[in-house]
Amino acid sequence: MKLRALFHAGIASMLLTAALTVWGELSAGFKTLLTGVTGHHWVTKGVISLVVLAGVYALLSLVYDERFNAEKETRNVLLSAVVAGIVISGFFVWHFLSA
Amino acid sequence: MPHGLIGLHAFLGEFGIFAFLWLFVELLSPNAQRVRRAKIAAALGTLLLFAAWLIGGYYYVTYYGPEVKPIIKAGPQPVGHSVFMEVKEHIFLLLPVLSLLTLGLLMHTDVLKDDSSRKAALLLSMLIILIGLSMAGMGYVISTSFRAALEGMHAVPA
Repeated sequence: MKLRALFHAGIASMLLTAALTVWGELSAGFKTLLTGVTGHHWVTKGVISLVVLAGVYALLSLVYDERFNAEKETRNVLLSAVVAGIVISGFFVWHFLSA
Repeated sequence: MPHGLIGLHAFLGEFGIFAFLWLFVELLSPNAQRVRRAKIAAALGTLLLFAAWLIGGYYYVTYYGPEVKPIIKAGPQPVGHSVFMEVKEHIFLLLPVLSLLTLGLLMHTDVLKDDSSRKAALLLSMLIILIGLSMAGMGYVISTSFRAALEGMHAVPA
């Protein structure tokens, strides 16, 4: 397994989840599109997160070699998770307060 | 009476978090036997978090959305849904990804020889534990908001 590809795929998946969440709340049409895929927008976002994880990993595995810097890649994963968490939390707090 | 699937979801999620706490403790001062147990904990934790996702997701789509959400939003603490549930359901989606990364890291590196991989696994498991604890806290707020709304519905006017 190419861990650098796995970690970068994880980063892509988490950041995309945050982006899809905010976009879906800001655009009723996009939320309807997400809902249309599985019947529920949240289920679609979960499926997309796994598909992106697997798909980006498969693509990057073709490109990357076996090098893996655990400290650097983990720092990037942690940073991405924190950014995704802040974007999601911040958005819903703002959305609630501004309603 | 809370829905039974809520209890199952909480049980699976909390034991998934405990599995990553177990992993964390095993890797503080690892030897071959502790690393073997840490791998079991990572696999078990990942399975439990995916199971919590499936059960919680089924409950959320079939019961919470149509029946609980409107009551919370009409009650005295709509923030229970509009902020806490929305944040919980979306941040939860990070947990299965983080658990797979931790499992992959443990299975494909030698944490006994590579201390940076051991520290990486410790950091990832700590993040999973912290997010998991926040899920439990938000679940408490959502339940409280639902209870407050139900009490308001059944209050006898003075």
